[in-house]
This record gives sequence, C-alpha cells and structure tokens, in this order.
Amino acid sequence: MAGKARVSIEWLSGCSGCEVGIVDLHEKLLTVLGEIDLVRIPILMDTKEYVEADVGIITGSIRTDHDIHAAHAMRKACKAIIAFGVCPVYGGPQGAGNAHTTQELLDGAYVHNPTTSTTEVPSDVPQLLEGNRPLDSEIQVDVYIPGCPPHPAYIFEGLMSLLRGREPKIGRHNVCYNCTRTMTKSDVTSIRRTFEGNFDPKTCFLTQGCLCFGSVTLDRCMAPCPGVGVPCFSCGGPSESVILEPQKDVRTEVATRMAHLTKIPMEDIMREIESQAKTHFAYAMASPVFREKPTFLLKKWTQRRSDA
Amino acid sequence: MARKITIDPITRIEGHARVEIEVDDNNNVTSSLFKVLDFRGFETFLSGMQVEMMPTITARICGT
Repeated sequence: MAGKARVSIEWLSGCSGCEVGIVDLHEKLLTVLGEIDLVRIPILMDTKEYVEADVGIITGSIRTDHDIHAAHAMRKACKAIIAFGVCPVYGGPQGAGNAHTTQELLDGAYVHNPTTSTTEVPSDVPQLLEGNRPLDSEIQVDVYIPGCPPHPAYIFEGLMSLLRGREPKIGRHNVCYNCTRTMTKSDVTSIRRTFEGNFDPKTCFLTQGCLCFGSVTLDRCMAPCPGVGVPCFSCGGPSESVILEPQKDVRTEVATRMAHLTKIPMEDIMREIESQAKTHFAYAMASPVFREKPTFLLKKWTQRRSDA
Repeated sequence: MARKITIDPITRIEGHARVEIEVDDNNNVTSSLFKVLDFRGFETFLSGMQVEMMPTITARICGT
C-alpha cells in the first residue's frame, strides 16, 4: 500500500475493551502508527461521520438497529473490514441474552430491577433487535480477529498482513498448545469446580475433574488463564476443528476427552455442560458455528436448569 | 431564542450516548438529558451463570 493506510474504527454493541486492546500493542503501537492514519476512532477523536478509509475495524456485535446502520455505513466507506474481537466474530458475551427474549432483558433491567425505582423502559433510543448477532450476519467481513480482547501479537500480525497484502503467519492450534499444564490419566470420579478444592497447578484441569474448554478453543491468546489457575472459558471462540467439522461440537469433544482422562462417566460430563450452558458457551453463543450444530440446544438446556 | 442542542453521538467516552440540552430565550438551560444508547441485558442474562465466571464476564460490561 503506497503511503499511510487510512484506518477507521467503529464500535457496535460492546464494551470498548478492544480499543484498549489496540493500546496493549505498547511499543509496537509506534510501528503501527508509522504505517496508518487513524481517520476515525470515537474513543479518541470527534469524527462522527463514516469517512472513507482503506481499513475499517469494527468492534462489538449487532444488537440494535443502529448497529445495522453503522455496519453498512462502515462497509460502504471502507475497502476492507476487520471483525475485531469476539463480539463481531461470534457475538460475544451478550450472546447469552439469546437465551431470553428481548422483552425479558428489558424487563430485567428497567421494570423488575430491585436496585432502581424506575419502571419505564427508555424511549427515543436505538431499537433492540430480537437477538444478538455477529457482524457477518449483516455485512461481508474480510479479516476475523477473535479474542476478548484480541491478543496484541495477533492484532499486530493481522494488521500488518492486511497492510502488506500477505497471508497472516499464525498458528491453528487450540489453547492446550500454549498451556503449561500436563495432561495425564487420573482416578478422579466426579466433576469439581475451581472453588471446590486445591488443584495442582502443573496438571491439566480435565485430568483433575474440572471443566476447561482450552481443547476446543482456538489459541489466539497464548493461554494466560490456565497458567494462573483459571480454566479456559473459550473467550477466543471455537477451535478450527469445531468450526470446520459439522459433527464436532464443544460439549461432546470436551466430554469425550475428560471421560478418557478420568473415571467420570461421559454422560455425567455432557449433562453438566448442558446444565451450565450459559457459562460454557458464554462468548460465542450467538454464532452460527454453534447454533447450527445439531446438538446445540441452548434455550432448552437453560430452561431445564431454571425449571429444576 | 429558545433552542435545543443535540450532540449525537458523544465521542471520546466509552460507549454510545447522546446529550440533549434545551435553552430558553434568556440562554438559560431548562433541561439537560444524557441518553445512554447501549443495551445488552447483563442484568438478566448473567443469572444462571456460574459464580466463578463473574469476575471475567462482568469485566466485559465496560472494558475501559
């Protein structure tokens, strides 16, 4: 690309942590700013219009009618679009809202909220859609950078490969690839949660009977969580094999692996994941990658849990 | 002259918001409304998630 590339950023329904993710480039930010001109970035500049740009970075998911308008305006104004972060790529944490109706979500916040006295739902604001959706349900996306927020190494490589017009040099491993824990067989017979005992910091969570989703999550994070005692919650979205192979789904994959490593019956693990579906599918629930799997029945599983 | 000033969207903040200010004939502000335009429904959808998930997921209400 001759001269500096014009980069425009827009946020849809999200938390703006991805904009902070860009700052996490630290010294590399100087390299990036040497090659780009930021022509629109609402968190820093007062450019309200959708100015023309070479690269459009979009954070956040499609949740309101304004998000739809903004996504199309960005697509029209930008030559290439990056879906930046787990929200535009897979719908993000607000995908859990798809287990409820939009009316239930509004009632929970404004009508039956024990901490406020209002009973009035705000008017004259962007209209909520019936569900939460990833960006490519509205517009064509050229580059996907998942992560919550994306890891600076992948932001850098993603941007640089796009600016230079080359393939990004990135791995296709799952989170286990960078995890320092060792997977071994054990005699554990029941599922335990992180607060239910002392877990060995050097042994795989699955071996110890604690659910961890690193083995079905794409490594776009370099596995920081398992290293500090937190099982993977899949904030980077599903692994390549889960994305590409229709018969593979997160629940069966994890249950098979854990049942193989421990003495916990596979059926128990499957039921546990289903009963905690909101937790275990937290970041990518709104994505067709999950929704179109024959085994994915979020509403039914969530309902069964609240009936119990 | 009475008028209404609208700033939409407000930039250099985290998130989406609009400000509407009404000014009367003597240039005094008669009303000022700050409207938050974002809604994702955390209040409701967090219910039913495991408690150990809360530190990571509630951090995503506002990432700045």
